[in-house]
Amino acid sequence: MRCAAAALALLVATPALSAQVTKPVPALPVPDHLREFHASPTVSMRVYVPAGRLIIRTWDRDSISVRGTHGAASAMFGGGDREHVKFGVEPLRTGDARLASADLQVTVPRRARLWVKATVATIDVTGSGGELEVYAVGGSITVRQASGVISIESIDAPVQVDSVRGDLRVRGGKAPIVVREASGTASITTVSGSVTLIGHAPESRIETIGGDILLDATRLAGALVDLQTHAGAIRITTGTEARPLLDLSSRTGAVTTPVPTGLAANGRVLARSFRGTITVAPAAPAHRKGQ
Amino acid sequence: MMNCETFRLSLDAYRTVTLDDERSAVVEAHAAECTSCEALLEQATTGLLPPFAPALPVTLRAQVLQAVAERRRARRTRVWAGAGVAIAAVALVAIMFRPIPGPSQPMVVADTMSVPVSELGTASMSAEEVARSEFRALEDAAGELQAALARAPGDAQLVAFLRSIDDQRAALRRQVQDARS
Repeated sequence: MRCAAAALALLVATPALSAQVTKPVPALPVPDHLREFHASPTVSMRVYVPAGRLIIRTWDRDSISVRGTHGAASAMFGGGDREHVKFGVEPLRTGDARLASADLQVTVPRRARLWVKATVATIDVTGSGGELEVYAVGGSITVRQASGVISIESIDAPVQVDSVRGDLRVRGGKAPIVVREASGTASITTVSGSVTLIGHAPESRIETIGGDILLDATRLAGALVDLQTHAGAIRITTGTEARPLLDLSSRTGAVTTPVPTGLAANGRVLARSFRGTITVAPAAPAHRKGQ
Repeated sequence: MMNCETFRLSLDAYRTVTLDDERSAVVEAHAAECTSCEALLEQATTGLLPPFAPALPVTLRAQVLQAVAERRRARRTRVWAGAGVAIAAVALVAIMFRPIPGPSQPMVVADTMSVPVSELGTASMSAEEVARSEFRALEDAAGELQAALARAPGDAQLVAFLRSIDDQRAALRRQVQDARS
């Protein structure tokens, strides 16, 4: 009798329990990490975030701040001293083939030397003033308002660089690369990814195999831009007043220049292609106005 | 036909003369045939009667045994039914409380990621697979340039193009190896 009563009680309670179970299970609460380290102003830092998101900002303090979350199957590691710091995320269990993931915001001294490695992650760096090296297979890479020696390598991660000073080197694969306002030297290479160069670029070299090259040559005064592609199309947009000196050559592709070449004082553009087309077009008024 | 057991059950009733004539005759007939029961009957009828002894019906034991058996059957039925219901309820609750596989277990930053978790493989696999088409593009380009160079040996521009492709191929190979490490 007691058994039957217990069973009956369970059955009566079941609807309430089922109502709880069928509700969506909330995401696991993962602690919001906050780590801070004292560091020298030129600390050398290596960061590993295989997957997820990494935001790097700079400040005028001699310390490093790390805030964010990591994946449930991932764990943070790290260590170092005032001159050298290394941290990142790794799989919680040895042999776990999944990529360790994290969503981190790191704030570092402005002149810190940064080395960032990811596999498939969104990487966003703003304001770095020391050396910066970023490696990723996929995801995306954005670098803004940085100076110093900047090196970016990706196979399939779109790269966006905006307002940088110093030496910029970008090596890509099939993803597009967009560089705006690179007021220093820039070396950009891709295989099939397109390259877009906008704004002032004193000394730039762009190489692609199949990727198209788009150059905004409206503000190239005193600049030297060297373009080379195997089969990609080169499109150059020039201003009507300050046209650069154009030296264009394609072995088997068509070269179209509806506007006459300009003066070397307005910049020099060398374009070489094996079988891609080269097209020069005047900038649209709205485009010039926007610049 | 009375047997020894029913005889013994009826003996008290016979002794207290609570049996009717017909039943009393049956008791006496059995005692006449069975020596042990005859001895019991003689002993019972010669002893002292218990004062105020209750007169019990001769079928009492049989009724009691039958009632006990029925109750046992009924209790077994209830126990099994209760157990069945309990097992069913436990099974139902276990099914409802089973672990629910879902995306909340392995990943918690999925909502902030630009790349779905499902696309994440091992680093080496991703890099090699992603770079495969680029290696092919480089090979094709190198083949074209070598064919062109065969037609125009020593062409400086072609040589420069070819050197650029070699550099890119080496760089891509290194990138894949770096990703694998």
